[in-house]
Amino acid sequence: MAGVVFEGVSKLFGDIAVVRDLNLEVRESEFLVLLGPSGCGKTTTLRMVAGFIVPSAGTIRIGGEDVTRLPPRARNIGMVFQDYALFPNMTVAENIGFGLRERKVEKSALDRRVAELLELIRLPHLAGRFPSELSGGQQQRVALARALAYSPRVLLMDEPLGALDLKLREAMQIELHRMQRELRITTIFVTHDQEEAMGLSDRIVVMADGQVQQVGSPEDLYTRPANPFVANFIGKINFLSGEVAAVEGGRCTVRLADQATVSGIAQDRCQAGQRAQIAIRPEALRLIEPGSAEFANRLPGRVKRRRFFGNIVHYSVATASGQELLVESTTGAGTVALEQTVWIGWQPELTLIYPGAATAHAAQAASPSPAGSLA
Amino acid sequence: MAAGARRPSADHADLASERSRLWRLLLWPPFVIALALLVLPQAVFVWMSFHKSLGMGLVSDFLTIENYRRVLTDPFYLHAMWMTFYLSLGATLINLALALPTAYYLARLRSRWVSYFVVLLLVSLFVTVVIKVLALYLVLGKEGMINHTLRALYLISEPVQMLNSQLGVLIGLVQYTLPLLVMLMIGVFQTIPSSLEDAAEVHGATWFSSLSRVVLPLAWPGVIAGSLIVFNMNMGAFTSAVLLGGGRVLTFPVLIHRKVILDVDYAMGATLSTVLLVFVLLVNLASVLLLRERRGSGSQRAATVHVS
Amino acid sequence: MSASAGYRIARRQAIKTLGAGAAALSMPSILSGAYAQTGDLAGQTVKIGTWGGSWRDALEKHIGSKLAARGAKVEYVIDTPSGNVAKLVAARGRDAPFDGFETAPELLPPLAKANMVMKLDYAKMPNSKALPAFARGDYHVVTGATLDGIVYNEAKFKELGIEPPKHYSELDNPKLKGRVAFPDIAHSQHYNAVLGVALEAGGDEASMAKAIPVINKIAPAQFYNASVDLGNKFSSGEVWAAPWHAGWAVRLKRTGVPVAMSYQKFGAKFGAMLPVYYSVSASTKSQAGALAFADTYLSPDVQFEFGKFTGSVPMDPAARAKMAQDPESKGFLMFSDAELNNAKEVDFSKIDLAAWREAWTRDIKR
Repeated sequence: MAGVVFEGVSKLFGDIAVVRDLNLEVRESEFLVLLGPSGCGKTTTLRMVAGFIVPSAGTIRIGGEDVTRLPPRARNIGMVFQDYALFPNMTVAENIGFGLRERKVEKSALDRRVAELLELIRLPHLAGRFPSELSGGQQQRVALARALAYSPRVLLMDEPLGALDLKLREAMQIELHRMQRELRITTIFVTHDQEEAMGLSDRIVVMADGQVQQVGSPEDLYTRPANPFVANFIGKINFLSGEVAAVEGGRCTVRLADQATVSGIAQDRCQAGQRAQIAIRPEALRLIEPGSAEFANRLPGRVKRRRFFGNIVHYSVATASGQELLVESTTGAGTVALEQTVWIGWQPELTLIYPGAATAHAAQAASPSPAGSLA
Repeated sequence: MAAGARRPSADHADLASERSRLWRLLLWPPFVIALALLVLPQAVFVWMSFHKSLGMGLVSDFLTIENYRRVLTDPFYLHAMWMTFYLSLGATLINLALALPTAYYLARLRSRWVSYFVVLLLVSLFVTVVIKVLALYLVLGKEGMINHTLRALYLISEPVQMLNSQLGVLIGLVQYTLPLLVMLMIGVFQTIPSSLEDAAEVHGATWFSSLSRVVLPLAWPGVIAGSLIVFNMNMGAFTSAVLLGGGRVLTFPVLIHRKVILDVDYAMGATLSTVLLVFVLLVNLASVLLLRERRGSGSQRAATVHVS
Repeated sequence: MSASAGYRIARRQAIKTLGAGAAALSMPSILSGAYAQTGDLAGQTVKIGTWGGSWRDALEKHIGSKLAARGAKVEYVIDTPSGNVAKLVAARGRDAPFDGFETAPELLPPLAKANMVMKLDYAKMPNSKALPAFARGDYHVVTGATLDGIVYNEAKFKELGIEPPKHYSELDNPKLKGRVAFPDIAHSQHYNAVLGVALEAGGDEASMAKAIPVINKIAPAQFYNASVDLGNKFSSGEVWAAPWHAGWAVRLKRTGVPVAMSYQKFGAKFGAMLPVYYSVSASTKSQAGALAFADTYLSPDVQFEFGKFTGSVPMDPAARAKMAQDPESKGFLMFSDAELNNAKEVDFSKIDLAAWREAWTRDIKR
């Protein structure tokens, strides 16, 4: 087992920086997920660890050893590919034993280890099959066994569950989680699916445009997103924008276009008169009585849509300034009719305020429809 | 892409089978044309070969195997067949040695120029053999570039005879079929996902081991199929043998040509061509059987040649 | 499954590349064929079987264009005479691949016997009246003759100190090793050359096999099948000497290649003549066109122009007299009646052709 360290790693293809000045430590035995939209540099990062791509600058260390220029075979890592990349000309057992054979492991030891792995992935009855005779989930597990066979220092996984259907994917997530905990192998897992990332990881690295946006546990990312991009990428969130009216310690108050004010926790140093983004999770919003003083932040609105999800209900509420807010309420909290005028209230403690001009991502995140992150 | 989400519904399956039936109907016209143009003349030829020649393209009414007895007991013809075989095989092996690395490199090259290069190859396939052969004379002839260069460097005093010989025919055959083989092999390598090589490498394989344990076994059926196509073309090649052999290399196709054109002996010409056809068929059959023997049940999983 | 998706994409890529290539190849072919809409041959397509290269070009320039002016469309079927005969035989006399065709003495008799060529109507060819009697056969008319001997690179011979070859057997000179070409069996000059060698070795038409040891001793670097190809090799210096015909010596000299012509004794005769036959397919659909082609071929003007251009000897006496004055042809060709009468003409009736072809195929050392 070993950790992986990136020191100032960059990769340019031509003039385009796919990964920019990456500094990151993957801890021993950690399950780390690289999360981001396609083209964010996560796969390039993974392939640099594998050794398929040589960084343009910086150093990569595995277990303290500088591997930046080592060929893949010398790095002693395992990898599961997006298309599994099982060798079609070899049986399941031969596939699993591939790395051991390349390492000149003696035949009986090799057979023993292959049998062990077949047990681990619960497919001992399929040892003699060819990959084309397996289902997608089975292929996936064989690919995993092949990557683990020679007890690599690090396990790399490149969107390995992407090709599976939803049910199988969930089952595989659980199994993957179980095996990783059992083997305690350092794992770097690439995905663009935030739910998958939340369910599997110890820590998540959110990437965009070749740069790390935030590193943290799923809870950290959800409750304290470092910027509007992360806020928008992880879970559902509402955005409002306005101008900072007052600053008071870590809190600040923002005045919206319709002169209403909202206060919340400043995520960065605030200055009066500055533009700011306000982000609120849908479950923090409540539909309240017009006169209620229970919540410090209040806005009137009109219910536009209602969607029922069993335990929860989603309301789309249009505010006076025309923005729509997504309100997530638990079932049984009383029903509200469409086009009815309501008040929305929420706590400043659950209000994230991002001062400064909207970044490209923030602009994207603050698109007119707050339901942009709705599935 | 989730395969499950895209699985066609039962209706779709019906529609698909309906469509595939239509497509199969479309296969009939080419089949009939191929039958009319290839199989029927060949059948007529085979029929003729069992008759005695009466000269001027006429054959007798009664059946005889005399022609075959004559061809198969004549050391002259047997030697010609042997020579045709080893020249064709030699050219095929040389072409493989040249085409495999080239095709592999091109198939793995992530560049838009590859498409253009393949088009160029394809175009070169259609340059008349006569023109290609003329170009070979300019390069390989006694007064050609190579001999001139060697003489200018005082490496030789007398020009080296490369053409008008079996070597010349071999070179001609190599030139004749190389572009096709490169194209076929590009197709073969393109069907092998490069992620397989990545997987081999990351799991500890050296470059050599990745080639020998993953790429080549997968390419093997395609390589054999492509080689057979090229070998068959070589066996039937006429122009290179005549022009680059300088009339001194009498391969089987040349002998057939002479029997038909000069002697106007259709029966014997037909016999020779049937013998060549059967010989080539046997070589093909043997190769396929050998391949099946080697690969067992795994063969259907490997890449195949796509001749489109 | 995703594993197979990889294959599918790769295959699509492969097909795309192939498709692009196919599209690039579907270039328009250029068709030509301007011909008059009126004239006595209007609407007739006349197909002529003949040699390729400059010979065909000369036919088109001097005869084809004139027929086109009379409304005919002239097309050419290019092959060696034996190749064209094979096409006629393959058509079994029906639907002949050409109307008129140029052929050779050894090829015609079996065609006449099989009724694949027609008796010529000399009334339709007024220009034939001036020809010598031997030029007017039942089934063929002689349009000209090539004079065969050895064409050699004069500059090289001088450089090597070799005398102009008086005998075919002199081609075994070690200094010429690898530089001699000899006409292969399908080539028109084959029989004259072989008979010349046979005569020198004490044989004749009935014993052609006597030529074989001598040819094996010469060990030609190549047995040529196409004069165009041989011409290129003379130009490049690849070949220094070859039994051939004077016409090519004239043509090569014209382009600056230092060649000369030497004629050999054929027993009592000197030099060899190969008459060029013109015959008409029995199943022609354009007999008038085919005969008009021949008549134009035999007009004194065309006989001169064509003879001068191709280096062959005209049959028309006036054309021959005029050509004897031509400086380009002097020294290469023989023009007088006496010389032509003294040139050897192979008597094919005495040669067992089948046996000779077998001997040539099997006994020549290759």
